[in-house]
Amino acid sequence: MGAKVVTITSGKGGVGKTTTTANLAVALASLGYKVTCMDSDIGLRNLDVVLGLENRIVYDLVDVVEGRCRIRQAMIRDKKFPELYLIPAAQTRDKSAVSPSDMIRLCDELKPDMDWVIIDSPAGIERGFKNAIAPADVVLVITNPEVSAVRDADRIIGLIEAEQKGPAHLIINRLNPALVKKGDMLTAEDVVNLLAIDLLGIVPEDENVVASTNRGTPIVLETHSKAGQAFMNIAKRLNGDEIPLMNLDGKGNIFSIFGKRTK
Amino acid sequence: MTSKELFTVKGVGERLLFTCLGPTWIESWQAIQVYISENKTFLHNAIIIIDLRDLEIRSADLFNARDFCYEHQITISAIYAKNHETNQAAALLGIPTQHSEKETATGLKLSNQAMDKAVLIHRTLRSGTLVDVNCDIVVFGDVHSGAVIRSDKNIIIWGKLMGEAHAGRSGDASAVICALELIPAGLKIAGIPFDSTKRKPKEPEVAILEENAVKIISWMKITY
Repeated sequence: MGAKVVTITSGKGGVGKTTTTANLAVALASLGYKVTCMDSDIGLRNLDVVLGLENRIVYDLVDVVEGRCRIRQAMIRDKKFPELYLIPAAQTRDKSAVSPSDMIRLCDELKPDMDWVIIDSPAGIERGFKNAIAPADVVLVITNPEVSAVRDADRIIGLIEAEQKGPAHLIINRLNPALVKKGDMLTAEDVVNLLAIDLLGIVPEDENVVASTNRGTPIVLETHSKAGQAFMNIAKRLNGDEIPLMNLDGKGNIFSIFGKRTK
Repeated sequence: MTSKELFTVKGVGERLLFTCLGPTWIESWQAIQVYISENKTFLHNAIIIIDLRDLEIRSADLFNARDFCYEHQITISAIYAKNHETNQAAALLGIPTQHSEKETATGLKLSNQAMDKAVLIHRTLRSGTLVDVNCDIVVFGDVHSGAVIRSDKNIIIWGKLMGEAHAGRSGDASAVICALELIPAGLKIAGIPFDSTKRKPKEPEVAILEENAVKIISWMKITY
């Protein structure tokens, strides 16, 4: 059976696409799956840094597309998980260097040898986004509980539906239960009601995420971290396991919104 | 089939009308793509209309066509189609639609058949969607903030209206806007705007134009 291709996207920049990609990839690898994550943010690559693999890059995605190397040569093996690979983006090119059909071809080549292919999409709705969702079997939309990010997520979900790539699943990242309690932040329930798609998970705000990202060791490896635990739960749900949402002491009954379906 | 058998091009005012003659959209579109690629300079900044006659195309195909045109600095200003699904796909992408052009000397006169019908949309209209029609429109779903509906006639939303709606755009003062929850980001009837800030409706409502001002009344109070 071939790998499942998961694209992680958001519309708005800075909501945590790359962090989520790295954490889900590591979580799935730690569960024993063969995983390749692909950075499709050509010109602005970051996934290599978050995974701590920036010093091992020889070839990149554009090298594969333009035939300068085979796909295996561009796959960088993770330091900790031997079945986790990264295909980095090119830093000196732009999004037009790759086409949606190139992405489909690359993923088709990876599928027989992998269980999961996880694609980190660039921000925006242009070529890079279209490249990233072209091969997707599953699309995960990341948003923060703020109005601008939710509106961009709504736009992205509309485009995913227009491309007939849906249904998309939602991850709410950086939810701050204290701010929710004070009424200064949208609740998870508000976000789900506004976007009307399946909720896959909620990741609480955690300052350790920044530190772990800078160290190149995804937070999911830190078992005491609530954010890490949330990413692990999301990976398990992605895999089909029924894992309840963590109680984050936010406003509203977050258990009741899990699995809420789109209209 | 030769390209002349798959599509024709003719000038319509300042626009170019591409009429698809092939048995399927894919065949006609492939030939049009070749034509566009071979005539990049001529078509630079062109505004085109695509007449699909009775062909059915999916929103994803239309989406790709629009992107291809966009990459070649070409704007699709309208879609002519007889097929209902094609009209809906175009409406969802915010491309104005008309029934297929009637054979006229100028090529400018459009069919009025669409005026007698309504466009039905069975989905949520998300941010960035523009639906622009000249007939009644009924949406079975919500209209999210950032989505826009414009109609020459009535707009009926079986859900929440959180985006923008403009009914009676060509001046029809009898046009109305109905929604189960009327909390629009913007609302106009026949060009007259309504300040909808801080609304908290508790029941379905109708926006009407009365004495040159938009008034919101409860659905329950309407008498026929």
